[in-house]
Amino acid sequence: MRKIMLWLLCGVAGWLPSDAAASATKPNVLIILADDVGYGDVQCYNPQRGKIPTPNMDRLASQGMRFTDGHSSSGVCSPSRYALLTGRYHWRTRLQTGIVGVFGEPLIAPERMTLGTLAKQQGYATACVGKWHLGRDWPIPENKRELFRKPRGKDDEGKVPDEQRAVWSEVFSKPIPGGPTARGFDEYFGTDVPNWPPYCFIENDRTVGIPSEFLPPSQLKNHLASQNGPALKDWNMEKILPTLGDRAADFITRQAKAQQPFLLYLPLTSPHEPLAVTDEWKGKSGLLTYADFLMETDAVIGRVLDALEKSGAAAHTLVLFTADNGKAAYTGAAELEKLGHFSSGPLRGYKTSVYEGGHREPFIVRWPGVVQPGSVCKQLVHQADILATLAELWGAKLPDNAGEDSFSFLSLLKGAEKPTRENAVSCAAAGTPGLRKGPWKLIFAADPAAKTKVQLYNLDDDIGEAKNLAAQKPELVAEMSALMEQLIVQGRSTPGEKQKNDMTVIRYPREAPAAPKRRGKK
Amino acid sequence: MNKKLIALLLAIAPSAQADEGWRALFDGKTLDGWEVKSGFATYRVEDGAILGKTAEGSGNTFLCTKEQFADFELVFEVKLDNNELNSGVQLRSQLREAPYGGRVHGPQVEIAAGSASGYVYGEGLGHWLSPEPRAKHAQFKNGAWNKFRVRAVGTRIQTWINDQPIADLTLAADDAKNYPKGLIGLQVHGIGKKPGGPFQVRWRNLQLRPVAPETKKEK
Repeated sequence: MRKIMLWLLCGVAGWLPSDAAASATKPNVLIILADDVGYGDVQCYNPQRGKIPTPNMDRLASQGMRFTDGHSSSGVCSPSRYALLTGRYHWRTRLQTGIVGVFGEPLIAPERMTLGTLAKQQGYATACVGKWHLGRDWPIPENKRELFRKPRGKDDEGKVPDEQRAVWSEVFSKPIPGGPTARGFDEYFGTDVPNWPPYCFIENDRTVGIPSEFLPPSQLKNHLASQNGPALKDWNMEKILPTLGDRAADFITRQAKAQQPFLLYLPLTSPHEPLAVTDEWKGKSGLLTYADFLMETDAVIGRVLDALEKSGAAAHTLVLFTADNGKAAYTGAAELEKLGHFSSGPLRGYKTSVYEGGHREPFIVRWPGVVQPGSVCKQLVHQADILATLAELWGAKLPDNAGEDSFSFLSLLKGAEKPTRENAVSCAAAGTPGLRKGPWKLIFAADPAAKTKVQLYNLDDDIGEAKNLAAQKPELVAEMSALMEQLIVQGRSTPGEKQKNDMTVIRYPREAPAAPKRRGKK
Repeated sequence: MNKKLIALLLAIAPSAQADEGWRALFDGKTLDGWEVKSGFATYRVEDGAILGKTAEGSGNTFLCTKEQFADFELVFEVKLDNNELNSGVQLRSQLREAPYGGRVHGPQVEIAAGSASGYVYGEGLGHWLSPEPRAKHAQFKNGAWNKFRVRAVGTRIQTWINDQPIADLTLAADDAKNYPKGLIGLQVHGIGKKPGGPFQVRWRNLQLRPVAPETKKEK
């Protein structure tokens, strides 16, 4: 009897609710990913040479930790998004160069762990609001794909033939598998790629409305759409960003009332093209349209953070802000420099580049009660690290075939100073990798001026990557080259069982123009 | 501390069921004491029941007790919102290292629209533990609450659906050795690329009573 009583007591004690423990280990998570924002575009990262006000991003930094050596996986969109969501470098996939193409296939394998699937297993309500650009299984028959792109040069002939419209109607009446709701997100709302067709919102796995027109020529100029194709009648690109802000705020408000914690991945479509600035923000920067759009982006972030505050959930929400790659040179980087604004701050290069301006990003984490407000962390971190960081704070063990390049930076958030990763890889849009090891950076591309096959920089002394030391440090070059090869062949950078890459990874510097065995669809 | 004590006292306060040694595995309000394993289908509490919902891309998922049980009687009610969904309840099950907290394997009381409900499947083993052929029955009511009773004592497993006996089997020696005790898990089967969904299943009134093994030797 006594024994039974004891057993009962132990059993019951194990059943006691543990709310306090739950809020420390199960905070809500809000990940805001801006599109094409340079390291120097956020004021607090570039106080001297940044001329665009970003009060909301700055406020977030003042309430949290600002990382000064945070990186995306690539100088361009899809690959960075892949690494952020999976904790695995994009160059282990088919995407050796470039981005997922118009109406492209899913880049994330169906069985791969993502932030969404892990969060769901941990009991989170998950949502993605914004730009996906990681491919979907578009239900477009192979022989009808041509009907979904308008040939260039014919943009003035706006009429859609009836038979073409009928094909669109059939295709866009179907669900679109393989998107965010098939990769761990309970809900999705956004535009797949805002400057590409289809020009409409997608909710979960269906288009909102049936695209039936081509975009009018006026929508294809001045860094708006870059590819004509199926569009909703009267599609208004200026509405995209505010609508995403509204939807994100709605999700937070709704979910804050639920018992369940939430994870919201908010990949904003801006300040990437279409540079569709609303009237309220036109001309506000006194600089260029891009700068106006960045200000509007900042305001939308503010709106979402306000909604979080009002919902009462801010105190137990981890907010992470970063961007997929640097500012694009073609939306006025040089003009902005003339006006005194340097989007890459002290860094060399812009979007697409293997130099720091391509992939060193603003990287801010606010987590009340854990992260010291107004703190700055100089350690090397990578967007691929988010998965392992969340796994550690959830007490979840990552299996060998997930998060292969993900190192938890939870200790840094808690104030420790020991590096959490010893090396990191970030690539040019064209694929050229740059390998970091401590302050050293090896770029696997020749330097014609210095007549070296690779380039070596010490970022501690030379953040602008101006002094190539490859010729002076052959041993270090050899050591880092061997490290890169090891990272490739191991299929992972973290400790664990060796993993397979999805295809033969292209080696750099490229000796001869040999074609890769399989190319990603472009 | 006081709060804890009060909660303790409340939890063990005498009730009709406590008198008989029954305890609730599910408090009707929270999923405390449970954890999701093997996949990322989702579980939440709705109207006093646990609602399991499929997730696209997920494999089989189980909401598992953190505690392990050996010899017991288990009762619960279950309702399949969608006949397309396969489900089940794991007994004495184990975890092997795998993504999403580990892969659940062990004896499973089948829950499915149709006549297989109540028979015992070897989850993760790839075969039925109930001997073939399994007699057809019509005890499981589609789209309605069904009362299950499971008795697992020693090597014998018996099941009832809506008070009608369904399975009565003796575990093979290996299975008995591999699964003497373990977690109880509520399954939401993976749906692969099947069209449709999400599909849902509900459980409520999950109660367990330890039963002393029939022979002392088994301990």
